[in-house]
Amino acid sequence: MTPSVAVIQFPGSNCERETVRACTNQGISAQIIRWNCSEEEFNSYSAYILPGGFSYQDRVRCGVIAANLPIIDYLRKADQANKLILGICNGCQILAETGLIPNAKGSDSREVALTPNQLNNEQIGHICDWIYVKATQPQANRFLAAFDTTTPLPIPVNHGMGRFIFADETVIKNYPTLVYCTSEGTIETDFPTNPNGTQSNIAGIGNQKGNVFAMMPHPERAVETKQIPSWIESNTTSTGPWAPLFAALKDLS
Amino acid sequence: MSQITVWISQKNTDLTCLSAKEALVNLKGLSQLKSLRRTIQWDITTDLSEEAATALVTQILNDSYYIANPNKESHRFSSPFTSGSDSVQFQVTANDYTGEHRLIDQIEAKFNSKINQLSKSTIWDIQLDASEEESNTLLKTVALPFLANPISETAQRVSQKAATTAL
Repeated sequence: MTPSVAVIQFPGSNCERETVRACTNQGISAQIIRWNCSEEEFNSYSAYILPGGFSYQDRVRCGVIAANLPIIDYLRKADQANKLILGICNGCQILAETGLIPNAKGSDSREVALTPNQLNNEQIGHICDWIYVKATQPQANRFLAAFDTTTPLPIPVNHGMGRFIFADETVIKNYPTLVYCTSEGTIETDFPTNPNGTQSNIAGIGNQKGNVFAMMPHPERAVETKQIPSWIESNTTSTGPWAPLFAALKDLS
Repeated sequence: MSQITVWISQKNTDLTCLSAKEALVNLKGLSQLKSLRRTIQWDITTDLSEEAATALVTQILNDSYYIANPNKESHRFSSPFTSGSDSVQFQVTANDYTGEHRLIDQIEAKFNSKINQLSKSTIWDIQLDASEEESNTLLKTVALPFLANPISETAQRVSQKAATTAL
C-alpha cells in the first residue's frame, strides 16, 4: 500500500494514532505527518485528517494558532483541488477557524465559532460521554454518503468548546450536518440530548462542495464493535457504527 | 452597593500571551507588534460598602483558589497597564456571557457573603510600532480578529478603570 491519507499531527494533538488505526482497519493506508512538513510532502497525500487533541494547548482559543500555520495554506490548496479533508474535535475547531466550513461565502472568512459548552446559559466545562447523532443531507458530503437520515449513531464526545455558533444560523439548512438526537432518533434541543447547547443541535457540518467535513464527536473511537460500551444501543454488528465514515476514504479519486 | 475590580496575572511567563505574540508576528506577519501583554479582569459587585467589599475580595483571594491560584498567579487592585503610553487595551468578552453564577454560589457558601454579580474578561495590552492610523488598521484587520473571535466575542477598547466603583 502506498500512503494516501495524511493525519496531521499538530503540537498538542493526541488522537492521531487511533485515527490512523481507524483508517488502516478499513484497508486504507494512512500516515502521521507533522504540522511543519514541506509542501512537497504534504502534496504527496490524497486526503487529510486533522485529529483531536489540544493544539498549542488551546492558547488564545481552541484551534486559532494551528489555523494560521503555513500547512493550512497547503490545506486550502488541497480543498481547491477537491481533496477530502476531515476535522475531528480539535481538527473541527481548526477548520472552523480557517473558514473552510461551511464556507458559504467561498472566502477564507470565519463563519462559525466553537465556543464553551453551556447548559442553561452557564458554562459547564469539559464533557466526556456517549451521545447519539444522525445525518442530514448525507448524500451531499462524501464522508456521510454511507449514512441515512433516520438511524441514530452512537459516538463519544470529549470536549470543552464544542458549541457551534454560526454567524448566520440560516445557512445550516443548506449543508450536510450531523445533529445530536436521542437513541430513538428524536431531535431534542435540551440537555442531555444536546450535550453542550450547540445551535440547531449541530455536532458537525460540511462544506458546499462535499469534500470537507468537521465534527466535534470522535468517530475514530467508534469504528470497532469492541469500542462500544455494552450499555449503548447500537444496531451495528460486524463493525462499529463509524467505520463507513473512514471507508469513504477508499475512494480518493 | 459597590463594584470591586481585581486584575490577575501570571507570576512567571504568560505562555498564552507568548504564543499569541509569536503567532501574530510570525504567522500573521504583524512585524510592527512591539509588546503584547495580558491580564484577567474580575468584576465583583456586592451590596457591601467599598471598604467591606474590598475586604471580602481580599479574603476570597487569600483563602481560596476561586478567582486566582496564588501558586502561579498574582493579583492587584489597580490595572497593570499604565495609561498615556503608546499602548492600547482591549477587553474581550463572550457575547452570550452572563457571569459566573455557579462560582457565586460556591463563594457565597464558603464566605457567607452575598455577591450580586461576578464576571471575568481578558484584557490585552497591545503596543505597535506604527502611526496611529496604521495602528488602527492593523488592530482592526490583524490583531483583534486573532485575539477575539469576531463571531462569538467582542473586543472593546478600554480606558483606565478604578479598582473600586461606588454604584
